[in-house]
Amino acid sequence: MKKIVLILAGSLSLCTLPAQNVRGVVYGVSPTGDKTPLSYASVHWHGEHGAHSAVATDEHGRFSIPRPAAWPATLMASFVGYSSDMRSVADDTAFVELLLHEGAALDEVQVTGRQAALYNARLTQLKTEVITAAGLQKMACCNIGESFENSASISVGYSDAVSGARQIRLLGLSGVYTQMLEENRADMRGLATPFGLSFTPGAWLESIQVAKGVGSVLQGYENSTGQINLEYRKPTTPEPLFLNLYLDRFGRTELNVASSQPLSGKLFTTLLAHGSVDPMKTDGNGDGFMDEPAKKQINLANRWLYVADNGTMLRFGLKGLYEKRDGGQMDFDASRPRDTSQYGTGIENTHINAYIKIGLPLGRRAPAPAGRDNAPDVAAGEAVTNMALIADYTFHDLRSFFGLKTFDGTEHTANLNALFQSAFGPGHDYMIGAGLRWDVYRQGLQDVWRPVSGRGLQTAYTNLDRDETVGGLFGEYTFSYGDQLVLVAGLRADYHSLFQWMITPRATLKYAVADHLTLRASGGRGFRTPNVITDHIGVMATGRQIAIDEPLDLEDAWTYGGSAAWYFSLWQDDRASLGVDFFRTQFTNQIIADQENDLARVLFYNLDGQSFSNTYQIDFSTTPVERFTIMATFRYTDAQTAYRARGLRERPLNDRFKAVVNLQYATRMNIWTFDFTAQWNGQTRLPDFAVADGRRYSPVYPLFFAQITRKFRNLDLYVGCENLFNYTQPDPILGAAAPYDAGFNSSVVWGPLMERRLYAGLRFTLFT
Amino acid sequence: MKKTLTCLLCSLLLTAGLADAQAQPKKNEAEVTFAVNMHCDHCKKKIENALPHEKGVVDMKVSLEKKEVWLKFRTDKTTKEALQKAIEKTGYTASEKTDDPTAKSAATKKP
Repeated sequence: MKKIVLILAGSLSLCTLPAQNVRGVVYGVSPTGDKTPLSYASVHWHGEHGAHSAVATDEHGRFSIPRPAAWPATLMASFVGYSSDMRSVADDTAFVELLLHEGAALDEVQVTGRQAALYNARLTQLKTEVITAAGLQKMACCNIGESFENSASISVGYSDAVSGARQIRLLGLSGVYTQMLEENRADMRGLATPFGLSFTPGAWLESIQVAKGVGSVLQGYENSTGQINLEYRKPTTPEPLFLNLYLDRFGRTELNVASSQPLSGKLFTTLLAHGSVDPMKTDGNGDGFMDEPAKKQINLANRWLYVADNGTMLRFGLKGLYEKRDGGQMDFDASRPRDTSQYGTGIENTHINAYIKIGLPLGRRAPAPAGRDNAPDVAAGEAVTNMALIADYTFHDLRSFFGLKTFDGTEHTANLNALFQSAFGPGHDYMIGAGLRWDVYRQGLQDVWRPVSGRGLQTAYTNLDRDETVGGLFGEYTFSYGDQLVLVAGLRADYHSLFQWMITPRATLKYAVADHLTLRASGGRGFRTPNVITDHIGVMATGRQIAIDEPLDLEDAWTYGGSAAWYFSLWQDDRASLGVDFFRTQFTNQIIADQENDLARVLFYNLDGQSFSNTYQIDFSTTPVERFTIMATFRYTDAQTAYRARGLRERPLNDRFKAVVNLQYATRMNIWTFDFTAQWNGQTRLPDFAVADGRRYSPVYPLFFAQITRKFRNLDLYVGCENLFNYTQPDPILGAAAPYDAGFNSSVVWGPLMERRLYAGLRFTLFT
Repeated sequence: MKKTLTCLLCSLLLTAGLADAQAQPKKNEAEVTFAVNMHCDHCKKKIENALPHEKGVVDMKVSLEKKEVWLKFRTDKTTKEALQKAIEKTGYTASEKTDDPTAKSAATKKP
């Protein structure tokens, strides 16, 4: 939804001779209104030979372009992260000022001040929380799984108490219903899901955007509860060296290196590297099991951008990762044969992703229909005809054992997408496209369990191979009336080789009632193909038989909701904000992993009855005195599912509420920054088999975080503490003494597993 | 641990109070606004990285929109000329703005 507004700013003085060149300047306007000249923007005359006339703006955003052969002519400007547009230029025009607006799209560059760590974006079509670079720096934030501590929208927990796999919940539902995007490309799907949150280092990112509710049909049918989009450090920002070193009391050592450099006016690249080790084995609760597995990870990415003279943008990149986790009992010896005398876990992930995106500006917008010329022309010059082609390939290999249970899987995914974007006229934009996806899964589960009645172990192998081919067509229409009202309606139809037709309608509405009040609503459908084991990796860490009772169908859900954001003056803050939102997700089909029906088995079956989740949230933020920010947020969730033979029940291990208060104070010029976060995590329903002493709910518990950052020239030093009061879940592993019995269960995790974590780090940035 | 928390909060509020107290103009402090040819967020970051660590600089606001850098400095430790050179050392041109009494308020305007 990027838009460009072109303004004719100067006119030729009658006293001067006609210049040989048309001169001007290209500015970028950030969502906050900051107007900054854009260097390396491409400017050219539109037309048959336009591309040959292209010039690039200099470091001050200025350009000088030879006059065209004929008048009137159309001048076009474009720049990465901003959409391109054109403007008719008359022959008496000598100076043109072009304003390229960063709009509300998720793929825009977020330019924010140091103080705004997390804010609710004002211009986005969906209710969107933006965690900025400053937000990513105010906590340890080693990876994205650790970046949501200031957000009440997202709860972060563990899938089990042995693998260290983090999982998020958005709108009261598992993270598998939230679509992860890497600069608007779907990422971390399939086998990458259970450990994917640790696959992107926080130091690689410029911002994270959390959009609640169904989004655009453009990125596929898979999103039900929201989208989390990761924006990487930009190749266009000339920072030849960024270095981040982190160390904590558990011995976790992490090094991140990033280098962004324009190689010419047209070619830009970013190199990102990460290496980390988590070598120390700790057992704080004395159950004989490591609190978290020992880990090591190496992760490399290289991203490129090429901007051609005619405005064509080519982006491509490659990412590769290897991660190994060793957990289980403290004295587990991997060199010994795996048998019932010891319990260990070993998880290896190998991930490769390559992508290419081509954006082609094809022409100017269709002329406005007669009679619409006087309509509020917010969209003037906004939409041009564009075409984009996106292709990517992902390989993921997961090798794992949990005691004697083994799960191995390999995934190949290829995606092809073509998009065409244009407009019927001012305020009436449309986008149509087609997509093809191939998923090849080769996966097998070797299940080993001890029956309740028997003494010996039983073994079963389940082949979970699956090939999917999905082809789809989609279209989206955007109606805008000024900045006031934007309605987006989309529809996609996909044909799935296993599940036949999927029809996905979605709509979003944003209405700015006034400058200080914005209302949003959205609704639509989302599907996903279940990956039984990786969606519920915690079941591997139990002593139970894993039983897939019936052929599992597509998961199908409708999500709708709305929000209101109000901005007002409070104390000396003229931009305090108060937001409320409500979302409901209702499943037509859901895959249920039921551990309460049969105490010896984990049952997987299709939903038969209702399953829904309602979430209510309120957010407040203000800056009562300069450089002191208060943010408070509260979320309440009511999530219920119909379980086999027991009917509708509250979903287990789902926190009923989360409240967060964050205080940040910075001294002048941000020399010192103090961050403090307090969380209250609500009770969760304990599964029936975990109820002890009549307590059916886990306790409400607080968590505290603090960090102090000192800025020097080119260098930030920080020290901090997570879990200040050292709160941990007591006995997170049920039946820890007999890990091969049906009573062994490490998937009942509702609280922190790690004790107080003290950490320190440095960030070094070299500017050009 | 509760003590640690209390201490942290107290020190935070105390620091906030002290900072407010410092906001009152002092005898040996002066202000200056420079027009600087910044053109991108990166330029702003470069200036924000360098200038706070120049000798005598007490406070700074950078406005990309206005292309202004407002500085408060200790007159016994530095001069306008030295600050101008410090900005120029980061790769930009700087000239003192003397005709705009609203310079500071513009620079401090919230985004």
